[in-house]
Amino acid sequence: MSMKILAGGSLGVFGLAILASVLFSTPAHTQEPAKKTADQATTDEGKKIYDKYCAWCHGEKGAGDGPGATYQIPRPRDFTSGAYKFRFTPSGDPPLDEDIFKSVAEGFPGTSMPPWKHALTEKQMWAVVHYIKTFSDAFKDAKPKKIEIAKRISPSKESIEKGAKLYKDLKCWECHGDEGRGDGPSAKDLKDDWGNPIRATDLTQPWTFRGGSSHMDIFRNFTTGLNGTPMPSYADTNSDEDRWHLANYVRSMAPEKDPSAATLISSAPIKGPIPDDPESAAWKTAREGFLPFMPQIVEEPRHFTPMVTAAFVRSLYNDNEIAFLIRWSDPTESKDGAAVDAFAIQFPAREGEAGTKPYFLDGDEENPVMLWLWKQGAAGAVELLGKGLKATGPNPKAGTFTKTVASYNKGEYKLLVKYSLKDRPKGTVSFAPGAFIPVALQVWDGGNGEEGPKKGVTTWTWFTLEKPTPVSVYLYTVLAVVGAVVAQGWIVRRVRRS
Amino acid sequence: MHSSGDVAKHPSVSKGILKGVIKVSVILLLVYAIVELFIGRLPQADYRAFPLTGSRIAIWIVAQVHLLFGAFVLAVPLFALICEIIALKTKDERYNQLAYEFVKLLHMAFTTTAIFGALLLIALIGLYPKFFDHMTKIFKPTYYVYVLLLFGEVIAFYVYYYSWHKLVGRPLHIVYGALLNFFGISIMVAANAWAAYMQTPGGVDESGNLVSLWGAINTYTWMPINIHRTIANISYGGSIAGAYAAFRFLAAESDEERARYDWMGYVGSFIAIAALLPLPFAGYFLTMEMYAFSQQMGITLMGGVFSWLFIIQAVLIGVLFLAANYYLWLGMMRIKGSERYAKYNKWLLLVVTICVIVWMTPHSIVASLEEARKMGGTHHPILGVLGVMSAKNTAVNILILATFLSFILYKRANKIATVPWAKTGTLVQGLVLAIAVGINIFYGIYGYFVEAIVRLGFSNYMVYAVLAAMLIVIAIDVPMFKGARTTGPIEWGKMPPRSQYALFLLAITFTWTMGLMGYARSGIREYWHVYGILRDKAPDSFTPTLGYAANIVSVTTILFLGLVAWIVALGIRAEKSGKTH
Amino acid sequence: MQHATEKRKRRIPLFLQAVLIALGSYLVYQYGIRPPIPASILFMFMVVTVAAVLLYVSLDNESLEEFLRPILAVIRDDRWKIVRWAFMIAIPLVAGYVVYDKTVPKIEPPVTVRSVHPAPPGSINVRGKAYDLRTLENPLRKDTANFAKNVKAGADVYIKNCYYCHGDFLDGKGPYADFINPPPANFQDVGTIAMLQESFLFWRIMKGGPGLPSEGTPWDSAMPAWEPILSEQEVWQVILFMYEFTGHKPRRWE
Repeated sequence: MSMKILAGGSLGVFGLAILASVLFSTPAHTQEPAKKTADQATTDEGKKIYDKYCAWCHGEKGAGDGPGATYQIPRPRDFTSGAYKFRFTPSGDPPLDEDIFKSVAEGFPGTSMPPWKHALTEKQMWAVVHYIKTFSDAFKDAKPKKIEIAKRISPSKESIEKGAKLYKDLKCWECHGDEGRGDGPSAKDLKDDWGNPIRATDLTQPWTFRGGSSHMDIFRNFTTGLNGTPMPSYADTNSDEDRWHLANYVRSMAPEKDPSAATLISSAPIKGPIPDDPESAAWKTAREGFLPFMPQIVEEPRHFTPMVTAAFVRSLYNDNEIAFLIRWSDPTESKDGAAVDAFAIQFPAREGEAGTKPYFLDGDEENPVMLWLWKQGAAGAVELLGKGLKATGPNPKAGTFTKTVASYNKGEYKLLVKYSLKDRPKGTVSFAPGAFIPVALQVWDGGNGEEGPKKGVTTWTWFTLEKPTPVSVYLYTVLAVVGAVVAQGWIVRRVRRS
Repeated sequence: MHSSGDVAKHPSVSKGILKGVIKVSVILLLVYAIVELFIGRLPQADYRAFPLTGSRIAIWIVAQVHLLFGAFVLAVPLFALICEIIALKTKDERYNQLAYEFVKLLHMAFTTTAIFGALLLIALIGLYPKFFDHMTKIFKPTYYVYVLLLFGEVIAFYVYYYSWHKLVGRPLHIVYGALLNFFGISIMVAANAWAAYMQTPGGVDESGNLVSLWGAINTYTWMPINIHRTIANISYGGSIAGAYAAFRFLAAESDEERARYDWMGYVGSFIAIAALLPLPFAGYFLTMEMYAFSQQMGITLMGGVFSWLFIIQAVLIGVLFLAANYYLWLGMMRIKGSERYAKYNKWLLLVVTICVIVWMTPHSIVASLEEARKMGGTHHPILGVLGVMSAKNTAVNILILATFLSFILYKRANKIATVPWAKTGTLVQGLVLAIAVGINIFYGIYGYFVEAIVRLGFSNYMVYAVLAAMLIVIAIDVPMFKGARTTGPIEWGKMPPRSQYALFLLAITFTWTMGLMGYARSGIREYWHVYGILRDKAPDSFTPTLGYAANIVSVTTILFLGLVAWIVALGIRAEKSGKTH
Repeated sequence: MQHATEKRKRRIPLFLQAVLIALGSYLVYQYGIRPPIPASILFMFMVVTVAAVLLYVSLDNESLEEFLRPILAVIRDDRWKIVRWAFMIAIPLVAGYVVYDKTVPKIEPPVTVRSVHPAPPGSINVRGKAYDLRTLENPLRKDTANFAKNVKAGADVYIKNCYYCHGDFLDGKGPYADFINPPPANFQDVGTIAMLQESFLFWRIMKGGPGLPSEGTPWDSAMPAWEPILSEQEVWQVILFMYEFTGHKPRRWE
């Protein structure tokens, strides 16, 4: 019996202790009751949190003028006006407390406003909401009313067609463009209520929709309008059904699922010549990789207000050439002047050990990069050697581009470049099938004043030429099967005999 | 056991001395001849390329196999001496037989060690002449000492070996054994001085000129390496003995033979595990000295690429613990009355498994970009918690306690305490263990809430708690089971064959770990032959990837174990033919 | 008595138990841990678990027998002929598939070994001034009179330079964080700045990704070298701010 106590007792403690350590090691989420009523203590608490986390963009007095505000488009909300874009209240009305809370908790995709629910407790966020309201007189005596959301109409083909007609009739395209890329004729001169330039949303990129990209979010925006912006409310001019059709149409401009950033761009082998036509079957079937851009914010002149948000890349190769087909949205076509639209594909300049990469911003003296640069209006792509953002120049060991085709249509660029694998200078990236090559992209939107170091960039991603499966793979597979058959045959025989 | 005819076969001691002197001289002369006749005529160069594999792999493999054999021929006499002393103390003749099983393998092992040593010397002179010149410039006097020690070792061995049957069990023979170990350890200590100098050089000025020979010998890491290697060798000898016994057990044809080798395997594994326990402290001492020599080197070792080796080592140590515990649990089968405890084994297994999993969880993680993105940062929030020192200390300490408990239960499997306070004693033991576990878990968790320095202090308390608990439990155990009623003797040989594979695993894991951690120690010199003094400008001076290093370590392990198997096979053949004659 | 309890415990056949434990553990590792753990770790955990299960079923001869009984029955007993053949066909196919899957060239990015804190050099040179990283301390910590002012200045430096990637909560989730691989460091985490000396941060900020040791793993940090942009004073201020904001304490010299 006593032995049992020894073993059982200590085992029990082992078990409990391990259980305890598991329980304690995961951060416990403390559920504090959300406080919805404003009192002095709450706003005081809100001020503390606001001053620590919010003031540096929204300013100490809530005027949207904190030290970080200068570098942001869209600019941080000015709380003194009481105008909020995303709400469930009629156009021009201040928002519900819940609307502000949701903005704080969920943040706004595509802007600098992060979701705070990961960092703050519900109670803290409510305190901030109440403190924010003290910045504006609009909330005094105001009793904002929640709008009714009409019954949803499913996004059927007919509904989308009706929505398309409304898009035309209501002149949505004047700002948002024919195909929704924010490239409409009046898009360039849009200003918000404070006189700051504002862009028409690119409807083909729902992952950048500030107020969310569900059908419901879009419908709400049509109903309430976005206060403080040129986007009006259609609640009075159009029926609920119309607004649902329109929402269904707008959402149909992009795939249901947002693309995720590619970690590998691959080039597919192709027999025969690579077609020049982006619409050809070979290109249509090639895998497409999505790469989002960030602006170059490191070296002067730093660029904080990018226009082009992402590019889609495909690639094909044969024995002679490798080709890239890239498409990206750009609301303005800029051919002349200092700032023209341009695009570049970046590789390391030298063939190195797998893994050694140059710095992603045009490399440096020790580890240079090779840039395939295309500029709007130029005859074709050229190859540059980059030894830093301000040290790029023609590559003395440049390869040959066999073809460059570029087109701009309804807010979208399509660029096709072909590079000769035969004329590749020695020591440069070999594009050997199966090898992993770092690749990065760069983009300039002339209409946004981007030139030189002011550009959109990506960090390194892997690029590879897909290898046809070698025969040895099948050999190993067959060997494995045969080996397994023999081994288990032997075991079964032995067992059955014994 | 051994007939008098067997003894008569052995030549006299003086003949053995002559044999040893000739053997060493022949090998040295051969090396000299090769160097003079072939390498001496090659054109001058800093580096020369070895065909096919390249110089680095060639020297790596030769050096590693030499080192493993060196460890073997050092471990066996140590092991034999310990056994002989135990035999003298306990009057248990089996220990002497156990020792002799290995001693008779020694002369083949010595020859193989010497051949690989000669190859290593030739390779160093031939492939890395500039480096060898530098070493010679600093260490020339020690070379002569080394050669003298070699002669001493071989002579001592033959004296010890050939006098075995006449003198075994007598104090004089133990003195011979001590002498053999003196030479063996001295050789290792001399070679350690060179290796330690390469890593943490001293006694030279900045351009590598000798200032003080003693300074070059007595560097930061010399003593720690001496200690670490000596302890590791005892452990290693035990594990090899265990594997040898396992092989003989599986091949045994009679119950008597099986019983003998079962016992031998048990003793071997016991020595291996017992010597393994202080090893982390020796390792800690070595690492501390490395830090003291160069913080950069310390951080490269613990925080850089090389930290991955410690993760692999953690995995291997996890394997060691699982295998050792499993062996103990299965060992209860040879004890009548063990059913009382055997049923706790599965719960101990659960504890050990959980601890091993926590212990293995790495802080740095191999992940694809996609996975890293999903993890949302440079490390995983939950794995990160398990990956840091706090959790690991707790896990490994509980692991040690669980293994200790397995052992205690094994020990008392056939005993029933008769002292009146047995119940209380057991209760206190259980309580002490529980408190030790509690302390470890408490500080393990509390460690997350304090800064690093305080956390480092905690690990001391945790270790003290474990040591104290083990001491108290033993202190109670010994008087408690004095005059205990027994439920039956240990029936050696009544062990399922699957238990023996645990012993194989132990030996393979030991060998592999030695290769891998040896690489870690040597590899952190990175682009230097002699750290900070003599740069490695050879074309293959890159730091290899883990997979590459692991492959080479595997090659050396297979090569070594293959050669040992061959030596063992020769020994068994000699034994069989000896019997039939 | 004891036998009865043994019997009662063994209601689930041992073979099934083993399968259930292995399967259950897999489900926990795969779906129970959020965010998901990398495949390499999952594999490691599963190997240990399966090994432990095999040890469990072979702890004594009776249980090993019980565990093997269904397997042996399938092999020996012709009533199980269909099952036997199903396994005998499935096992080689699975073996073939695994080998094929392991050897076929894959279109997926190479796996990287990432070391969270690379080794710093002994000393660095910033704009011609040498700093010994082994002894370097934040000089602003001594200036207690201006502490709050320096933290405030550090906040300004942070918002103008760092927050785009490292976020305004300092949790590595800035507006551009998603575009960067490997992702920006999360300073709120206990595993980052809380484990490091201030001199380490000074080195990482001044020298950035390009200044990482060449001995390091493939390291493609997008962290810029701030040496030409920020002054020494500003860097110490921002370090001060990072610790103040997160509440972490820098690691002290031992």
